[in-house]
Amino acid sequence: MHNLLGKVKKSPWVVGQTLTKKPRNSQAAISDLFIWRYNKNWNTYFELLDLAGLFGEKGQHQADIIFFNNKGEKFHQQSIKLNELCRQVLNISKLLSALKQLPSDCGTFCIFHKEIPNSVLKLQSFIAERGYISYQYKNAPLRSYVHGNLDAIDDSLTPLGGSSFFNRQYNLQYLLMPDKNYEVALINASSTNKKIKFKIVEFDNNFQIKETITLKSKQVFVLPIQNLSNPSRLIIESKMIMARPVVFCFGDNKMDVFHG
Amino acid sequence: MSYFPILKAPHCTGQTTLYNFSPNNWESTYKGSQSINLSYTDGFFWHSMVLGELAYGDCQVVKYQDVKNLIPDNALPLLSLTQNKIDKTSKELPQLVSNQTNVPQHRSTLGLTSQYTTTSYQGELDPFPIKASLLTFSPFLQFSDKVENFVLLLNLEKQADNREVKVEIFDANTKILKCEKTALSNNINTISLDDCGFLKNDLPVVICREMAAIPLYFSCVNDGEFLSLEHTHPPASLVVHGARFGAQKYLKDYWFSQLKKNA
Repeated sequence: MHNLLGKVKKSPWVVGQTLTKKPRNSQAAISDLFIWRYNKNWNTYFELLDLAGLFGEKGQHQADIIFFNNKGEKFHQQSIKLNELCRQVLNISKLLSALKQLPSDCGTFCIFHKEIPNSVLKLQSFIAERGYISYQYKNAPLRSYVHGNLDAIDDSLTPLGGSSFFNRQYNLQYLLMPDKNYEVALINASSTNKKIKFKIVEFDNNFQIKETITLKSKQVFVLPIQNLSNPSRLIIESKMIMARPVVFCFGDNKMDVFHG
Repeated sequence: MSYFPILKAPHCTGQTTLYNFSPNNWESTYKGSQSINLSYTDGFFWHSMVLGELAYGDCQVVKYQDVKNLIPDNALPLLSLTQNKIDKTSKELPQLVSNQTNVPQHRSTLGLTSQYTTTSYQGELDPFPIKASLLTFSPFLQFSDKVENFVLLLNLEKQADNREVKVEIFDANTKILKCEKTALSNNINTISLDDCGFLKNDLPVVICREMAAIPLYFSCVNDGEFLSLEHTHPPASLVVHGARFGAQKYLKDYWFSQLKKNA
């Protein structure tokens, strides 16, 4: 009876509202939307693995990398030959520096593997690039890694993120400290514009920062958090099913990145 | 019923931040004060004690220094946040009555702090089945002056013993066994990757046929002046939808048989 009541109470939040949608094409490739940052302080790298090779498929494989600017608009695409079962570190900043003009100094990119292993098709699954990105801040001798966490977009560039009927809160379980600065990056992986409210709240529920924005599909927004007076936490309110951010934490000229 | 370990790594001490609030506002959770518990194994039994209370809406940082005199040397400190009192001594890992959510999961901040800086990830630790294995492709090694690279294998099982298992580290391309190490269950095992002879373009594969673990990759420079920490995905994460765990089984069967030939 208690379980049934729980299911009934939860149903307005789950019925018809999946976290991510399945691509229409059964042979589609899927990617996360990764954040690139490139300017005098930032370099971005991506660990490109030959996913088909990991499934035992032999031969030379390829992947397409597609870049979007900070408004979610596509501005560059190129194919990359994969190094079979060797490590391949894509220097994203170097790829971007070869372009004549960059539309912004941050945005998103996705990677679609061209070969779909038969073993994956047989399981009615989709190959997904949700791998590992690293950031170098102020030419530090060590890069900071964060993994992808969402099946955000398919190779027809259809966003796969679900939408909620009601506004939901994502309460980041992280302690924001006054002696650090932060940049919270959020991507809209749904196909429609999303109104997002960011709230920085102290533990006695006093608001420190409130900001409301509208994020277009595939767009990334970076919220700076500086000069906090007290330890605080972050609440993100939106009609995204899970507004999980990537958080860049700064202290003493060093940077650490993690996802929510 | 997640536990929250306090990590350890070279040049660093661990600290874990617990949160007594839900990560969302729509999955039903208990909204009251909860007990902060510390559990550890001595290799024979699980031992647990209450460290304090955490009010609803609050958070608590617990450092390794706060608990090191309460546990044996080299034991993995496991924190939990519960509504129930857990047994002081038990043969099996105590059952926790604690908040659980799915979108996202209830997490804590698992951090490592050196004398210079801090790195962290949002995580939790659930017990693995005893008959499970580990396969991880690890493109996290960094190569420059004074960089040290480690894999930290984090395991938790219901039984209290510290099983010793073999960890094999191969080159994915040549399938050559580069080094062999041991690890203990119910522990965080620090394995250096610098003495395996990997080059910049090598893709290491870390496998354990007898035990599952969360593989954390940790790099540091100049005795901890700079730190980097991240875990790899389980193999099932290379695909989405369909029979994902069929994909994981396929990958493990394929790689374990490929790597066996040269082991």
